[in-house]
Amino acid sequence: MRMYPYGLKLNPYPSSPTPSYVDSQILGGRTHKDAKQAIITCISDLYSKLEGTSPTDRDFRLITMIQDVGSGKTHLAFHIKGLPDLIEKAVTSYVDLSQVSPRDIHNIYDSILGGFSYDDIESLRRSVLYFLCKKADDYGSSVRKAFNYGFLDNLSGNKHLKQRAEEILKGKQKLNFQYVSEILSSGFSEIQIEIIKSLLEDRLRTDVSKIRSLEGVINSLSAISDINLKLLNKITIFQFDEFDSKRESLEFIKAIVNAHIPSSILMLILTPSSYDEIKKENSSVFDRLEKANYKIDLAGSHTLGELKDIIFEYIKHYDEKKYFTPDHENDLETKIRLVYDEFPDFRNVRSMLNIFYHATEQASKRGSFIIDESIIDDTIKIIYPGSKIRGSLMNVPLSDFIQIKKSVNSMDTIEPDIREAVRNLLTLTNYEGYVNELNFDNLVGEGIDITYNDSYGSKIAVSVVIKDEPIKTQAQITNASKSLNIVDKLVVLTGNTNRIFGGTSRNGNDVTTIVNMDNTKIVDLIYFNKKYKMREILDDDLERAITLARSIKLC
Amino acid sequence: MSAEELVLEKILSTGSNGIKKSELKREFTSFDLDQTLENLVNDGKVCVDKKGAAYYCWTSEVYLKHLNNVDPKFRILIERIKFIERKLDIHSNSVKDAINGLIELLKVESTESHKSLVNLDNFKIEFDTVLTRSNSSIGWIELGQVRDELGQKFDLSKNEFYELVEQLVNAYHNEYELSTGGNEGLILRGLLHGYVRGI
Repeated sequence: MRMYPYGLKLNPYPSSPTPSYVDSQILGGRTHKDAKQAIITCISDLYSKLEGTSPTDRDFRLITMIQDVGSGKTHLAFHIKGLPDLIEKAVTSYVDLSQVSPRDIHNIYDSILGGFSYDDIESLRRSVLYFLCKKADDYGSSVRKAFNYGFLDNLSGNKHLKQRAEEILKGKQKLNFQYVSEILSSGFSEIQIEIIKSLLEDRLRTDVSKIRSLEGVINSLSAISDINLKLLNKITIFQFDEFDSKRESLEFIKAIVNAHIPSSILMLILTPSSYDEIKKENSSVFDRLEKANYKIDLAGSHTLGELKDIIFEYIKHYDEKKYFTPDHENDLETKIRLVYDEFPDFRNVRSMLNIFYHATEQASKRGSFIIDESIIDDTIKIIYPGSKIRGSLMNVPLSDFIQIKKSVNSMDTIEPDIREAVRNLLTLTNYEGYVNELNFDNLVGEGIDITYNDSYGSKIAVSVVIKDEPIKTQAQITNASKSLNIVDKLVVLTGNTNRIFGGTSRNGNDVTTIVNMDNTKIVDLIYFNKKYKMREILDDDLERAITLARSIKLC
Repeated sequence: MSAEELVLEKILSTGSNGIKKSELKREFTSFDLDQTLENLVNDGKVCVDKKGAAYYCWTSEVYLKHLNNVDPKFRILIERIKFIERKLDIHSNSVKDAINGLIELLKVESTESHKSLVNLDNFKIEFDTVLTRSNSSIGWIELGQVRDELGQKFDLSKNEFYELVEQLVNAYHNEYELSTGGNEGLILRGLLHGYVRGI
């Protein structure tokens, strides 16, 4: 049996670019959980108001959920739809408006009906049939006729009505709808009876074409909502994902909001861009959105903390035997942080989950119990072949990058390595003819590590000053600058970003050039040096090394 | 002429050889020579020192020449001091040049537009101010709108503005969020991100 890291029996991460219903049952991250709680509060609040009373147009709620693509809006909508706590309180229809084309009233209505789950539709059918059974006391004859009771069935009274209802549900028997209208007429409107008829005859969606106007659609939705409340004792939630500024969408949503469909919640899911476009396109709809009862804010859904929580939540959900220890959590956190810091493009839920889905597969193939640097490195190479470490010129693999970066934490200890790397880099550029007269003996003054002549014949001195303390750095740079009596130019390579001066000094005459060595450049140098000493510099590396030398103003 | 002037004139007239104190005593009897000499020594105009068995008087300049001739230690010290003096002159000129250079540099910078004053810190302050002022109820604002305000304030080109925005959101990635859409902005994952909000 194939095993996955941390003792998991399956890959916990979603593999599809958009969430599936099963995956959406896992919800991680504080922001997402807070948003979920806000929606639950809204639903519970409305539900509690409807207990023992008839719904009015005041019993309608509008929720907007606005955030960027890939932030988990759809995931949250699916999660809400499938929440066990809410299944007893609400029936939800989810519509992805991007899949509705053309967006005429029939297609939109058809999508809303298609947006209810199979279980909800079946549950409603069963409820209708059982409701009819209960009406046997008042409408005995009509009910028996509706259930197609024969002479022998009549002799047994109403005892087998429920059995007949089950047979109808299984398609073994048909309901005689000629008599159903009479039974329902006292508690249901004409349009509701038509919908119930379509429902029982399994023609709910094919009857969509009978509706001729937007008003007809709104009336049908109101009817469905009311039926849900009467027969299932549930409110109805209409979720519209990918809501945008297209005219048809705006007209439809405006009509629904204006209708205040009783015992229903309208949940609109859109991006900030769509929200802004709606503002420009239709101020009337925008004004309605602004007055939403709940504005779900997923601010911070792309932050490191949120992404980390979400990634852990998937593992923990399937980690029955608790193999995923706090140590594993800390270790994995450093990997997440690294990807987050070095690849700004992946700073969103969708990209991160995609990486961890593939990394989990890679780990499984390798038989690794954990997700380590090399696995993440390979994963990124495979799924995002063009990705590089931000700012890296030497194309440093992620695994090397992680190892080297660990050693870069102390500037004082890294200085000799940088000095050696710079010497080797200049040796290489000397060999390639970019510089000459290379001299590693300090003949020109204190603090100078290397001198050489550049391609214009100018004498250059290089000083490597990688100190943690700004004062020491400053003192060493001052010492090194004394050599300016002898050389034409001084290049100071420093890692101290708090330096007092920087760039080019002495009236802009390019006499002293301060090069700030950020972590990426330091890692590039160390990586180059490692390859150079192992004699592994290939043609591509050579070009990259020359670029690196140029980037730190050596040639 | 005062007693000091008379004595000083006499000492000056004797040149580098100086004059014996006893000779001065013999010549000037009408006033207290010791007191007069003491006054001149205190004023730094005359030096009294022993030469051989007798006390001699010189003017200060002549006395230095005398010491230079007779005392090798003094001669060496004088040479060193002159060397230091020359060095100080050189360095003081360098300092003067450097200060003049700085003054020139400051003049150039001050004549440039506000653009030269942009750095990530003050850009962030202004950027945050625009975000705070945004009247959008959901907090999102078009980057193009932010550029309209800050571009003018700092005299930034479109590219310069978005370079700064990129630096800002990278440096403070827990403070800002970008969102897709809009007409201009940053390209991330191949998508135009034209909206921003503070977290």
